[in-house]
Order: sequence, then structure tokens, then C-alpha cells
Amino acid sequence: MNILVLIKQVPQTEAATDISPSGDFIERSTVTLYKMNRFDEYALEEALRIKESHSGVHVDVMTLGPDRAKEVIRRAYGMGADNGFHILAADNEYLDPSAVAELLAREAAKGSYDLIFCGVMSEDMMQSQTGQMTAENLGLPCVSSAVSVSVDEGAKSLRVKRELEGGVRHDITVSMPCLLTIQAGINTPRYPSLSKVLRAADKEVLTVDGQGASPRQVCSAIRHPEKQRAGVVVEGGRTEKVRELYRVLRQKNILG
Amino acid sequence: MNDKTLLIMAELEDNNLKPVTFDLVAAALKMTGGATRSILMAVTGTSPDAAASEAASRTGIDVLAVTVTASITSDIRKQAAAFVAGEFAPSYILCPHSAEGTDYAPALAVRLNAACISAVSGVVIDVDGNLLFSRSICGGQFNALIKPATSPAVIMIQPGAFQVQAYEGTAGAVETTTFEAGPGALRMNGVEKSRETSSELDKAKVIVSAGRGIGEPGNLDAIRRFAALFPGSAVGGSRPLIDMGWLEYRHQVGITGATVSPSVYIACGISGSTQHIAGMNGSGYVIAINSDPNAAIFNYSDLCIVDDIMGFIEAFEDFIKNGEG
Ligand SMILES: Cc1cc2nc3c(=O)[nH]c(=O)nc-3n(C[C@H](O)[C@H](O)[C@H](O)COP(=O)(O)OP(=O)(O)OC[C@H]3O[C@@H](n4cnc5c(N)ncnc54)[C@H](O)[C@@H]3O)c2cc1C
Ligand SMILES: Nc1ncnc2c1ncn2[C@@H]1O[C@H](COP(=O)(O)O)[C@@H](O)[C@H]1O
Repeated sequence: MNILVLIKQVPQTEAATDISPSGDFIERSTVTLYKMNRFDEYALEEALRIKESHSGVHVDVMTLGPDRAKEVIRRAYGMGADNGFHILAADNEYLDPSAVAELLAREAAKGSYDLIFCGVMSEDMMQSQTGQMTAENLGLPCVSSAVSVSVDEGAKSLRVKRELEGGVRHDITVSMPCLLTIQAGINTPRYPSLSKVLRAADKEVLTVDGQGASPRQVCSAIRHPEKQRAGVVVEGGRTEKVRELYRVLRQKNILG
Repeated sequence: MNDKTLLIMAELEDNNLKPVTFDLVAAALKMTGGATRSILMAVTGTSPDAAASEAASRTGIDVLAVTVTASITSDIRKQAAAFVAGEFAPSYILCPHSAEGTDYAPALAVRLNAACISAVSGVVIDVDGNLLFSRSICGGQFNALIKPATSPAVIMIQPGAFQVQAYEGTAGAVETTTFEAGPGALRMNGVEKSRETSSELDKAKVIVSAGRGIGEPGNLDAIRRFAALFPGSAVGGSRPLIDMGWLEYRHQVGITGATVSPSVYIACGISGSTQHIAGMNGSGYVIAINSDPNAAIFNYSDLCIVDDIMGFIEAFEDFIKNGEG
């Protein structure tokens, strides 16, 4: 059985992100540190658990991004992934999710995958749709927001629980091949192991050029969100902040 | 019904309209400048007629009741939506950015060669009269204004983002149709209604909620001590704390947890992502303590304290202990 996990590189924090000088996208500072999208760690962990509990399972990973995105493939190797594929894309440019999904599907179609796992959402673009679109491009059924997965190899199917609002769950059977988007909390993602990191040190990452997909949307502008409430910022040092909070809570009569 | 440029895909549960359907109507009216004529709502279900007439009378919008002859899963929903879109060739198709919507709408867009803009929380008209769709990115720090380059375009509306207005005028027309669904790839085995929830968060006057910014599980003790300073308080948390096993599910605030509305909500080290905000935005007064002055939570707060959460709590406790004030 072959599993592909789509993993995205995202900033560790957005604290150093700003609106680009042209105003039509964001720009990340050169000091920005990057990591694997948190939801994709859960997706990769789930794939690795299937590999460990069944025989003959391969887990590949694929990412689309600038050159630095290869770092998440290195991390995936450290966690136990077998092969990594990198689709090269521009940095600090708005990527249309339809185009991303088209490119991911084009490369994924070159393998013969029984299962494709994605994260439920990317922490930076927050779209919750790239996986579902990739599945449709590949003609695969898709279940999003999976919080439990069990594989029935004989029946070539999966039993999946997906999560809805307020914690309601749907229990679904889906035939393989298929794509799932994995929700956080399904497992506890492992840390890369030193031995695997060392073994993967000179392992190849296959890079292909991400071109030829047609964008269906453009980013016109980036704005700072409007304040929805008073948003009074307490000025001064810690002592002043403590005093002000005390004063406000006192006034609201909620201190014991 | 062939002058319709905007198609709304209603969301049902057990053949009843879900509130998010009216959020879609509010967004659609924003797009048309208040006119209902060019809007069509599709109400798709195994027995959708009652919900369809309810929708028509509560909104004044013309409604198409689509009876589906199979048990409905997301792949059937996608087929049915593509069928309706094929009949009317709308410029925009509005779907909810709900668990159900995210399960079928992106695939629908691929099927129709359409752009798909998800989690839309605002509509802006640019100088050339184009509609731009605003969506939150980077944990809520920025809004991106996205312009679709296709017709149709699938627009997924963030629940709760648009102001729903009550409607008192005449009802819209209702037509009916049947959709013979092809075989689905998914089989529904059952629904687990709800997980263990708590009345604690419902009853609390004050909720002190912890997020990943508290750093480590041991720091929950300080959060609990902080909460204990307020009579009638309860401890809540953002989802990652529940995912990591630091807090039990019944403490989770947000779209997939509890929706709360205490008099005072104190967010400690919480970034303010839309999924968390959806669960606490009805609170009376919101205080946020976060070390990042640009954190999105400050846009949803009455009082903003930029500080390290643990250091701040310690100083606050000292202040109380020393009998100041
Ligand atoms: C379908 C779906 C459903 C979801 N449902 C929910 C839900 O119900 N509830 C929910 O909460 N989330 C939910 N999420 C997750 C949500 O998207 C966010 O990932 C989550 O809310 C982030 O939690 P957080 O703010 O604690 O963590 P982060 O986003 O990591 O934020 C941590 C914050 O702490 C601040 N910080 C760091 N260090 C300090 C310090 N020393 N002192 C003070 N501040 C500090 C940082 O500046 C940052 O703002 C859902 C996601 C999806 C895709
Ligand atoms: N550039 C990318 N490279 C690899 N996978 C991606 C990329 N963008 C999105 N994905 C996958 O799609 C999921 C959802 O992303 P999004 O639609 O942006 O919220 C992520 O969790 C990843 O699994």
C-alpha cells in the first residue's frame, strides 16, 4: 500500500509578517523561521502509524513551495517518510489554491497511491480546500476533517470518523483510493529521530518545476482587519497594566 | 427563474434549514446591493419542500427545492450542486464554510472549472465595480481581498460573518425538481450526536481561557489560580490544548467545541483564529493578554494587554496578595 502525505511549510509565527510594499500580498521578513504546518504533522503521523501497523506500506511526502520548502521534507524523512517530492514555486507571491491543487494532483498522479493524506487547513492561508480540490482533480473520493481512521486492507476501504461543528461526528466508509484531510488531535505527532535524520542526510529530494497551472483567482490587496470591539490597549509597564486590569475588573464587580 | 446570477446552496440538517443558510442570504444581499431578484436558493435534501417554503417566506428569495433520490453524502451533494449550477449558469455560487460546505464546495469548484474562495467574511466593491471577497489569513493578522477570475466562482461564506436581517415582505416563489444521484463513493454508517460537554462553561460569569501561548501544561496551574480570583468563573481553552491532552474536551471553546457568552472572557495566549472567535464572540467584555501586539485576538477585544502571560499573571497575583487597589 502506498500513501502520499501533502505537507506545507509555514512560518513558525506570523509576528514578523507584513504587508508587501506593493500592497497586493504579504511579505515575510528574512528572519522568519519556518516549520511544517501543524495539521500536516498529524496527517504524516497518521500515515506513519498505518505503515507501522501494516506490512508493505510506503509513505511518501510532497510539498509545493520555494526552495526553503525542502526543509519540511527533511523533517518528514526524520519522522520516517520514504520519498520526498518538491514542486518549486515562487516565494512571497499569492498562490491560487486551484493552481496549487492542480500541480499537486499532476505530480501525485505519477505515483500509484492508495491513500493521500492532507492537513485539515494550512495555518497561513487557512483555506481548508487544497486537499479536497486535489482529490477532485485526481477523480478520488474525499473525506475532510478526519478524527479517526482505520484501514480495512481486505475490503480496500477505510472507516473514517469526521468531525463537524460542536464535536458531532459522522462515521463513514470510503473505498480506496481516496483522499482524507486530517484534523488535529487524531494522534500525537512524533519528533524526528536522530538516527533517521542522520540516515536521511544525503537522501535525495526530487524537485520539479511548478508551472503550467492556470490561476483562477488573484489577490488584489491585503488589509489590516478592522477592530470589532473597543480594543483599548493598556499603555505603560507591567505595573500599570496590572493596575488597569484590576481597576476594570473591580469596576465590573467580578473580583472576589 | 432564468435571470438568476447568484446561487445559494442552503444547508440542512434532517431536512430542516440550518442557521448558516441565512448567513449566505446576508452575504448574497451584500453582493447584490439588497436586491433579491437575481438570487436563487437551492434547498437540497431527501425531502426538502417544507424547508424550501420556509426559506422562501423568511427571505423573499426564489427557491428551488431539489429532491435527491439517495441518502446524502458529500459526493452526492457535490453532484446535486453541479446539476443545479448547470441548469442556471450563475456567476456566483455561495456555499457555507461549514464542516459540510468544506467537504463538497471545493470539489464542486473543480468540477465547474471555477475559482473557489473559502472562509469569506466580507464583500468589497472596488473602483471598477468588481466584487472582491475578503478572507482572514495568517491566523487572523491580515485580510486578503481576493478577486475571482472565473464565472462561475464558488464563494464559501464564513458562518457568523455577515449581519443577518429579519425579512417581512412577500415570500419568494418555490419550484421543485428531482435529482437522480449517481452512485456515491461514500457510505454513511451513523452520526455520533455530541461529545461530553459541560454546563460549567455555560454557567460561568467569567471564563479564563488558555491558549498555546501559555507554553507548557504545568502553567495551567497559574491559569486556574488566576481564574479562582473571580467568583463564578471557569477555565476554558483553545483547541490545541485539548488536542495535546493538556485539558479535557469539555473545556474547548470554539466552532468544534463550546459556544460561550460569559460577562467577561479573558483570553490568555490565544491568537484569535476564526475558529476560536466563533465560540466566544458573544461574550460581554473581552480581555486579551498576548505577547504579540499584532495578534488577531486584539481585534476582538475590549481591553488589550500586550505582555508575557505567565509574568503578567504572577504580577497580578502579587498585586492582589499585597492588598493593593
Ligand atoms: C475545522 C477546524 C476547527 C477548529 N476548531 C477550533 C475550536 O473549536 N477552538 C479553537 O480554539 N480552535 C479551533 N481550531 C484551531 C484554530 O484554527 C487554531 O489553530 C487555534 O485556535 C489556535 O490556538 P491558539 O490561539 O491557542 O494557538 P496559536 O495560534 O499558536 O497562538 C498562540 C498565541 O500565544 C501568543 N503567545 C506566545 N507566547 C506567549 C507568551 N509568553 N505570553 C503571551 N502570549 C504568548 C502568541 O503570540 C499567539 O498569538 C479549528 C481548526 C479547524 C481547521
Ligand atoms: N503548498 C502546499 N504544498 C503541499 N501541501 C499543501 C500545500 N498547500 C496546501 N497543502 C495541503 O492542503 C492542506 C490544506 O491547505 P489549505 O487549503 O491551504 O488550508 C494542507 O494541510 C496541506 O496538506
